[in-house]
Amino acid sequence: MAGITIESITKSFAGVTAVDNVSLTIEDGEFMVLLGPSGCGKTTLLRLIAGFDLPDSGRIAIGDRDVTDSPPGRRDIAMVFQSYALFPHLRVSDNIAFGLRMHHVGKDEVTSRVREAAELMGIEALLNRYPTQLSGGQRQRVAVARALVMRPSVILMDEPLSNLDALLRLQMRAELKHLLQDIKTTTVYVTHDQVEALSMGDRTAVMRDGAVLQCASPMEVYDRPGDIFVATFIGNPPMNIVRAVARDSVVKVEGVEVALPEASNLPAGTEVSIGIRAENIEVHTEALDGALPATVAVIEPLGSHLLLTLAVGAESIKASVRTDFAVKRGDPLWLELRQGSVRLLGSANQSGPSD
Amino acid sequence: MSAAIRRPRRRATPQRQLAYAAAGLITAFMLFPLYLIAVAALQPRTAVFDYPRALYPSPFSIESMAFFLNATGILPALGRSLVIGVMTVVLALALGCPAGYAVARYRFAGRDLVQLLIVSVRAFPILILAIPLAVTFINWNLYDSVLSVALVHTVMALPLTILLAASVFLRVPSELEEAAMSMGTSRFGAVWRIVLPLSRQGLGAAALFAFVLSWNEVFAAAVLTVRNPTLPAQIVGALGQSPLPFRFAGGLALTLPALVFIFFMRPYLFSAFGQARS
Repeated sequence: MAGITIESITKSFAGVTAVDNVSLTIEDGEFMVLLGPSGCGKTTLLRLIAGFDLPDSGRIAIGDRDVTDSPPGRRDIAMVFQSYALFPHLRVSDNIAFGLRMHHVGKDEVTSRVREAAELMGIEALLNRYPTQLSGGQRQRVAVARALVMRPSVILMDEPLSNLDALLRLQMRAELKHLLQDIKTTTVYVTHDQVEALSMGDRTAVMRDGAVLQCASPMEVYDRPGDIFVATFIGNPPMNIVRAVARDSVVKVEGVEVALPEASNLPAGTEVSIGIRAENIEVHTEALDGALPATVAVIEPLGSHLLLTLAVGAESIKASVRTDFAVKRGDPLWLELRQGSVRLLGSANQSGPSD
Repeated sequence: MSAAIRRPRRRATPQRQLAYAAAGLITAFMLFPLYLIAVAALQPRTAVFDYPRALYPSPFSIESMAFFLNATGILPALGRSLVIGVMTVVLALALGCPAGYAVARYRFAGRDLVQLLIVSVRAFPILILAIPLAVTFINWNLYDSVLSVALVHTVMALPLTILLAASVFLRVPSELEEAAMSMGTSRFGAVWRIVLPLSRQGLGAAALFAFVLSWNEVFAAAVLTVRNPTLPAQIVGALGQSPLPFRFAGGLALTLPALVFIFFMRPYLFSAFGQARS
């Protein structure tokens, strides 16, 4: 068991900076999710921790051991690959036992630990099969068992669920979380799926262009995104971003004053962007003081709720309402932004998500 | 390692029938002369001059073959050819696998140049290589030895061995190696335990090509040996003065081992030509 300290790590490939001066501290036993769009450097960061690539500069420590230049086999890590990377010429039992044998663990202990890991993952019946004889979900379990059997200080997972079908992914997500909470091993988990990031992690590091934009608990990242990119990358629908003009602790949106939860130090008249989640918008059918007048543009029934796309002046805002909310296209509505849920996201010219 | 290659049953469409007919024709074109040689070699010596030619050995006789095999120097030459073939396979794989691995896995300065140079070995006529090599081997006291011929055959087989090995290694996902390394092996250990076992088929094909190349090669073998020729060198040397049945028997003796070798290596051969492994 050990935490991970990453200090000012930089890595470029052929002139392209994949990881740009990243520092990150992962606590012992923590479940850290690296989240970001493809090409953001999350997998490279994971591979640097694993030791498959070596950083151009910076330092990585696992526990209190500096492993910056150590080969992967001496880092006390175990990796679960997106493709599972099971050895096709070895039976499941030999796949799981591989690492133990490389570490010259005694025969009896290998047998008992393989059995133990297989039982944990519910794959005892598959031990004599070859990987090609397994389904995707079974391969996934073998890959996890092969990592757990090593009792590593750190488990690294590279999009382990992305090759499973939707239903199985949902099931494995809960099972993995349960399992990793039980064994309390430090875990770094790479995903581009924000639902996985929110539901599994103790903390989520949101990455873009090789940098960590925000590293906080999932609810914090969801509720108080650090910038427009995080706000729009996380959550479905993404956070509404609306241009506004600042004045003390109030911003003006389309001529209506909206209170900010905390005072801003912005000079009056500064153009800013504010963010608000769809579920934090109270929708009224009658005019209300301090509410934004809007027109219904799109109604999307999503089963549990209706998602409305509303035109507010030149802005487009999404709000969710109960399914029994009687509304039709073109109806006028009034939007009340719930107290304390409006987020100030910097000046308006800041860029949004790149993809 | 893999289960038998299963092909989906397809209906015999006209296109497929045509393809089979063409394949059959080409095969017959290649095999018919070999067959005629075999027929001539397995007939009584006088029957060689019959016209029209017999299409099957009648009466069957091993007289020519026995005469050929009993001729002075033939059996030792056959033995040397086998030894040189095996040595060539071993040397070509021992040198070609690491080189192929480097080409497949590492991005190093001058990689493209190295690849070009590897292939360009074959651009030199063996004539140009053999004469200076003969002089060098004389100086090294290697001339007229099994090792000298095996070394030259290795050089000739290496380009194909390296390229085949590289393409075979590329088919093994590097994640498998990384997984092995993360579990405590060195890169060499990962190659030894994971990459090589998974590359058996392709490397088998490379071995096949090296062996057949060595078995058939005559020029370098003839230049580099005097008293200890390989079978092809021996036959070529004796060709002028030997009777026709002897030549046919020699032809069969040269063809059969290669055919047997190819027969046993045929699954590997297919994998080298890119047929999918299950």
